[in-house]
Amino acid sequence: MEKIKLIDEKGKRIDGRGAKDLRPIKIKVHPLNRADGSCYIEWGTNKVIASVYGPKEAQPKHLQDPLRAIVRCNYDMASFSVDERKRPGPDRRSSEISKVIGEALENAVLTNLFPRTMIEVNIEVLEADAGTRCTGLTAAGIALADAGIPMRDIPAACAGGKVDGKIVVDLRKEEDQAGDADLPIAILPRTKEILLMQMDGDLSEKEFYELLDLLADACINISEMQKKALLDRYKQEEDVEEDKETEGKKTENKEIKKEEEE
Amino acid sequence: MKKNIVFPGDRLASAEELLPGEGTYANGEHICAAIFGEFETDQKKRCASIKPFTVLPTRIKEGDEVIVRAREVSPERAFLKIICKVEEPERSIPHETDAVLHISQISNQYTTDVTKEYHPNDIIRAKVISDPPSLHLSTKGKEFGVIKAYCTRCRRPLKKRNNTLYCDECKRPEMRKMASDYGEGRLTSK
Repeated sequence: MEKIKLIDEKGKRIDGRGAKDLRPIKIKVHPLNRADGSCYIEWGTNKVIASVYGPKEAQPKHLQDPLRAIVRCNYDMASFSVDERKRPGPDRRSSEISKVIGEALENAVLTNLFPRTMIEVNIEVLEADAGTRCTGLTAAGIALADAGIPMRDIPAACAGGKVDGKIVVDLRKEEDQAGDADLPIAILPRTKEILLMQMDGDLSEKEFYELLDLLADACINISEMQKKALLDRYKQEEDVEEDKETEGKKTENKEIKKEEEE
Repeated sequence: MKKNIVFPGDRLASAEELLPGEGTYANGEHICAAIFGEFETDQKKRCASIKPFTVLPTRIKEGDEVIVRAREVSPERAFLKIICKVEEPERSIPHETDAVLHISQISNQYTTDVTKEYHPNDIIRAKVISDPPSLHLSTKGKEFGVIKAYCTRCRRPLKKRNNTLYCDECKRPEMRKMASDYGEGRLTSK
């Protein structure tokens, strides 16, 4: 089989991006009304929805920690999210991802404020195109902030790797499958504290540190987008409230006029 | 004045300057924001706090109205499970939800036996009279009491008929300490 050329002579990748460029990201905060906090994110062709419930009494009770809250994460891929139909339900991969994301989020949340409780995070992948665990974690971070859960910082995540011998950020499916290495990380953008790091393939020490720096910068960019999304949602709500107030005043004025006429 | 909007992790002040208040936490020598909202300072108390833009996890305190389900009823007290707070029914409660209702707090009249007033699985509107972790409730007053109850024999919902509850299936009445709006399906008493 002929090997696909993933990076051309000019250094452009198959979708025309440079080595440090991210795919376009679109974030919508609070798409689910019944959840305490939720977020929908489109990252390239990845489509992920995350919801947060709690803090609530931990069930089963033996899981309760008398000193802090536990974060339970459930990462799930829809059967239609990949090219070939995926058998629905949990599998080895999704169990592993649920565990690592849950542990990453637990380190971002101020768990000591809610002893004996649990925070439930559900991540549903609607369309997958490499880097879904990073997409899911980024969405979960926003959903937690939307649920008003106290955190040290909003976690942001991004994957990177080595493709055709070059270090690149935010791999897409072809690069992930045909590339030499894959390194997803999640950090707290302000302190650059690492919450999650996994590596597939081989990287030299120099390459590893180079990639880590690039990913940290990418995560900071993502963090800005997360904040903007939260702010947009808040402004929308504020506009609605203002509209209601002005409408209320208008109707009041009309009533007063009517009374005066009478 | 322009709002000072902060996100989780933003540094607000130095720890020597202000005390950490609602929505903030002390991180070594700094006070940082823990939630998304507007930063405010109380100059009198020298305290930093955040006015949230999102709905925060609820907390039950003295004076709140709650909806509970009876779990176990003994002659002297009923053991209940809090389902939700009346004001915020959608948000789950982030602490212990077991509560106690003592015989002296059932109603303004003299109560001889709690088992005559409440039965397991009754849905009750009650008022909190002590802060968590040990939650004590009261159902004194006409707005408090059972808002939905089930027949002890056939488990069908009881219907209100002339100030008593009646099971259409078993053709017999049952006694409960009822809320004035029994069976209307409302959580709030107002």
